[in-house]
Amino acid sequence: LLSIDLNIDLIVSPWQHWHLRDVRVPSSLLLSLMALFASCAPTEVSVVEPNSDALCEVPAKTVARLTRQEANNIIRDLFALRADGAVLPAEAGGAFDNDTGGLSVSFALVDAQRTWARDIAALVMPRWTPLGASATGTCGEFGCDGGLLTWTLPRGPVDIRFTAYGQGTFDVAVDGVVFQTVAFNSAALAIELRTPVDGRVLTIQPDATTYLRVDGAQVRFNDGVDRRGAWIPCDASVVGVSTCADDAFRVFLPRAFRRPAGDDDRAPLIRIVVDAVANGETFDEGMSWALEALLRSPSFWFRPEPSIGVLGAHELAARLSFFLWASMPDDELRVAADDGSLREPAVLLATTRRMLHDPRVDGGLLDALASQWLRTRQVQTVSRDARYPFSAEIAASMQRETLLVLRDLLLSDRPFTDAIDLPYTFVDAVLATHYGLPFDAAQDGNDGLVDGFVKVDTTAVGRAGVLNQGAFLTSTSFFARTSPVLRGLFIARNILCLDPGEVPADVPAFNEDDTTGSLRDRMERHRSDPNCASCHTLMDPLGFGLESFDAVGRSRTTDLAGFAIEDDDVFFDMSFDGPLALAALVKNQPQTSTCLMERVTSYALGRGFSSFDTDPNHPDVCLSRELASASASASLQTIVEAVVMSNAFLLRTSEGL
Amino acid sequence: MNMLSGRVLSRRTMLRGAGYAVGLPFLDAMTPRRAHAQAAVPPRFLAVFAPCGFRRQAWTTIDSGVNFTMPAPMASLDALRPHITLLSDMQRSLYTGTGTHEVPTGNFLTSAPIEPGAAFGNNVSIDQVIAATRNEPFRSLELALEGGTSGLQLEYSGALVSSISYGGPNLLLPTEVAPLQLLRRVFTDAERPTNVAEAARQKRRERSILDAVLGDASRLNGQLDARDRARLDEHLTALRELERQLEVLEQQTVCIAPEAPGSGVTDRPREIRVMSDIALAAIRCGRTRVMTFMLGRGASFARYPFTASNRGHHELSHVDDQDPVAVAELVQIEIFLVEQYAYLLSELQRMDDGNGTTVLDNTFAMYGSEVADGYTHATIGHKIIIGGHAGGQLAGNQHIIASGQPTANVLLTAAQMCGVPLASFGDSTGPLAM
Repeated sequence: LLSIDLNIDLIVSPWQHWHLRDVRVPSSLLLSLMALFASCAPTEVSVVEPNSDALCEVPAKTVARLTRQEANNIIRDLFALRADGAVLPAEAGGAFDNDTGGLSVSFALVDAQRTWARDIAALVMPRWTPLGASATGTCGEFGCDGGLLTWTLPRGPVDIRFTAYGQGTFDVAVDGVVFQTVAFNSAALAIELRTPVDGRVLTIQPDATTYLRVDGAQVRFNDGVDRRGAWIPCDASVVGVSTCADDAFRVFLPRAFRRPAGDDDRAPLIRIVVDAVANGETFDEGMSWALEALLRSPSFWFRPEPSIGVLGAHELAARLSFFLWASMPDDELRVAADDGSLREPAVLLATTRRMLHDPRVDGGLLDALASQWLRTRQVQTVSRDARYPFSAEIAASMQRETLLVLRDLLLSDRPFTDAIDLPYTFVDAVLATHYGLPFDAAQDGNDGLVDGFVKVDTTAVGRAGVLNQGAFLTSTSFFARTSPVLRGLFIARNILCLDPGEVPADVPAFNEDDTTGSLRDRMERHRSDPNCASCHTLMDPLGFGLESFDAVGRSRTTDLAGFAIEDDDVFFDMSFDGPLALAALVKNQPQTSTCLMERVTSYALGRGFSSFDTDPNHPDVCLSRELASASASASLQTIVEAVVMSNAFLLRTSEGL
Repeated sequence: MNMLSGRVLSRRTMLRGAGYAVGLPFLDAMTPRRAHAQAAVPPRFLAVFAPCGFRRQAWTTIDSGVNFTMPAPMASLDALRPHITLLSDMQRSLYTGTGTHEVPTGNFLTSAPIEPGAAFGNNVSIDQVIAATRNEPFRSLELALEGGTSGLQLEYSGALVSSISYGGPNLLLPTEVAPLQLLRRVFTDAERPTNVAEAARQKRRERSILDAVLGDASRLNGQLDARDRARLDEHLTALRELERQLEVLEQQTVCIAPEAPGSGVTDRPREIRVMSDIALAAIRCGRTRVMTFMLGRGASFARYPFTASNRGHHELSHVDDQDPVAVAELVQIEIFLVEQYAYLLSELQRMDDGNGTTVLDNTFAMYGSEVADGYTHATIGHKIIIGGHAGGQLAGNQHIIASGQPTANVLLTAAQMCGVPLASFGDSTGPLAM
C-alpha cells in the first residue's frame, strides 16, 4: 500500500467529494479512510456516485469500437494467442487510436474481420487442411513426385501428415533445416510429423537414389497449447450438442462481450452449432463457426454504455481495462463488476493499482503513450538514407527503449514530467552500439526485467529524457536529414500543448539541394521573414536544441555536409545551450505538466481534447477541474488514479443529471 | 445458361435465374446484338496510381493526335497503342502549401479541397461514385503496394498518401496492401486450386455466421441511443454488404483463384506482380468492376532492386539535373511503373468479354500521379494515360493536349462513360472533348 501522504496528494481538488454513507467528506479525508479500510476486512462501503455539488460538465462521446490493438489484445487474453497484427486495417484517426470520433466502421474493416475471425478460429480449433500441390516436382491426381518437393506452410508450428510411396530415404526440412530423416520401403506409408519451429517453407528431399511420391499432404496448427479446452468445458457426445454449446457460451460470452450475456446472446450461436451438426459437420467444426460469428458480432466490436449518467459496474470495468490494458477485464475485475464492489472507491482505487502493476499495461497504456503520443511506432515505417545506420532491428530496440522508460516512470514515484529530462535510459546491445554507450550484458535484469535491456546513465553522453531517444528523434526526421521544424512542432504541440497555428498557404518549397550553408543557416530565414516568424520563433528553437542528434538519433558534432552543429538558441527569451539545457527548460514550463496530464486523460476517455475542455472560461468542465487540481509533480500513477476517480471517467455524460 | 435471343436479360433476372456466370466477363446474353459498343453492363473502371510524378524532361511529348510519338517512358505501351489515349497539359488547382504529396494523393480521384489536420475534409472519390451503382460481390476494391503515412507532413494528415479512395468527407477508405489478405477476401478458400468441392460448405458456413451476426446487430441496435446507433449503422451497412455479396456469389460459378503468394516476397517488382495477378483474377472472375490500384503510396520511399544506388523513389524524384545518374535511375523507376500498367492492360486485352470484345475494350483504365513532376511538385502539366475503350466510347491511339483543363474533367468523363450521368464533379469544367 502506498503511503497515506501520497494518497492525500492524489486528489487535492476542493471540488472532489464522494458520498460515504451519506456523509459528505472531502476527498483527502476519504482517501485516508480508504487507506485504513484497505487494511481491515471490507464492511459496508458506499458506492461511487457523482456529487451533485461536484457535478461538472462531461461532454458526450460516441460509442467506442475496438481498435485493432484492442481486438488483438483480447484474443491474447482469451486464448493465449497472438493474432496476426496486420489482418485488420490500422486506425487512421486522431492523436490516439482509441479516439472514438475517428473509429468509423468501413466495409474494409468488416470484411477484414471475416478473415481475422477465420484465422483465429482455425488456430483455436486446429483442423487438418490440405497443403495442395508442391511448388516443385510434378503433381497429379495421385500426389507429387519428381525429386525435391516444396510447400509454403501456414502459421505454425504445425503437424504434418502425408502418405509416402516408394523406397529409400528422404529428409524433411523447415526453412532449410532438416528435422527428420525417414528411411522407408513401402507401398503406402502414413507419416505424421510435427515441425519444430514456426517455419514457412516445408521441403521433402529424397536422396539421389530414392523414388518418392507424396500424396494427401495436410497440416494442422499445433504449438502445444490446448486452446479448445480453454473454452469448451464439456463433451458433446456425452451431454449433447446444444447443452455443451450452451455450457461453453455461458462462461465464454461474458468474457468476450465484457458484460453479462443472456439467452438472447447465446441462442443464435447455439443454433449455428446445432445446424452445422445437423448438416453433417462435427461439433468442433460447429463451435469453430460459432466462434467466428461471435468474433464478428457488434457485441464484440462495440462497447455500448448507457446514454446518460453513471456507468454500470461492467461498463466501468471495461473503461478501466481498456484504458490500462487496451483489452478486456480479467477474471478478478469481472468478479468485482459482477458483485458491484468495483464501484466502491477503495476497490476501484485498489483495482487500478493492481492493474498498473500487471504486465498487460505494456500493451495498453504504456504502448499508447509510447507508440501513439510519442509516435515511436513511426520508426517501423521510415526509411533512411544509406549514410545512416538503420534497420528493423534498431527500430524495434528504439521502440522498446521508450516503452521501458515509461514503464520505469509508472512503477516509480517520480513526477511524470521527469520523462522530459530523465538522466538514464534502457539499452540493449544494438542500441548501445548505435548511441555509443557502454553495454554490459551481465547487468541485464538491473531494471527488474531480463530482456536484453540494461538501465544506463546517459547524462555523461549528453542525453536526457524521451525527446533525446532514438525513436522520437528518428520519427521526426526526414529520409536524409533531421527536421528541426518537425521536432519543434511536435514538442510545441504534444509536450507544451501550444499550437503554433496553421501553415500559410503560400509557403515556398524548401530547397533541399542548396549547399550554401548549414541547414540551420538556411532555416534562419523562417525567423527573419516576418510572415514566418510568428510560428517559427516558437517551433524552431525547440528543434535546433536537438540538432546534436542526427536523423537516426545518434550524437553528432557536424552534419552530413560537414557543417558544425549549433544547438543553442532562445525560446521565449530563455536562452539555452544543448539538449540537456533544452530538456530542463521544457520540463519546467508551467504548461508542461498540464499538457502531459491532458494527453493521459484524452487517451483514458477515448476522445480528443477540445479547446472547450481546457477553456478557463468554462470552469464547470470536469477536465479543467481535474487538471487544475492535479499537482505539477504528480507521478504517472497519480495522474491515472485521478483520472479514474473523476466524474469524466465515471459518467458517460452529465447531460440530464 | 439460357441463351435468349433478341432479348436482353436484366441484371435482376440474371441474379435470380440459373445465371451462374453473373459478373463474369463473358456475358453474351446481356449484350444487345446490334450494339456491341454500348454494352448493357457499363464499362469497368480502373485507376492505377504511380507515385512521385513523371520527370518532365523524360516525358516530353512531340506531337498530338492519332499515331502520336509516345514519350520514351511509355515505350512498353506501344504494343497497346490502339487502346491508349494520352492526355497532357492538365491542371490540378486544389492544392497549395505544405501538403505537397498528401493533398494531391488524397484528392487524386476526388478533386475536392483538403484541409490541414486530422479532419481533412475531402469528398467522395469517383471510383466510389461509380461503385455505388454496381452490384458485383465487391462494388469496388482498393489495392495498394504500401500503406502507412508519408512521414513528411507538417500540417496535413500523413495518412492521405495511403489511399486515393474516399467514401465521403473525412472518410478515407483503407487500402488492401497484403496480397494474401486480398486473395482471401476476394476468393473463398474453396476457390484455391486444391479444394473446389468445399465451395458449397463454405458458403453455408458464411450464411450461418452472418445470420447470427446480423441478429446480434439488431438486438444491440435496440439498446443504443441515436448517437451511437449511427455508428452501429455503419457496421450494419457493411454486414448487409457482405450478405449481398454472399447472395451474388451463390449465383456465381466457382472461379479458380491464383495460387496463394508464397511468403518471403519482399522485392517490389515481385510484390507488384503478385498483387496484379490477384487483381486481374478478381476482374476475370467478376468479383468487381471498379478498382483502384496504387503502385506505391504518395511520396513513396520504395526502393527498386534494379537501380544501382538503391535510393528511394521519393528521394530520387528530388534530384536535380546536375546528377544525371540519379535522374536516370528515377526514369528507370517511372518506366518500370508504366510497364506494370502495361502488364495489366495486356492481360485485360487477353480476357474475352463476349461478342468479340475483350475486357480492355469495356474498361476505362486511367494511370496518373499525385504531382505532375516530383521535382517541383508542379500542379500544371499533368499527364494522364487512359487505357481501354470504355465500351467503344474511347477511340484510342490518341494524344490529346488538354490545354490546362482540370484533371477533374477526366474523372467526370470516367463517370459518364462508366454509366453514371454526372453533370459535374469536383472542380470540373466539363467532360473531355474527345
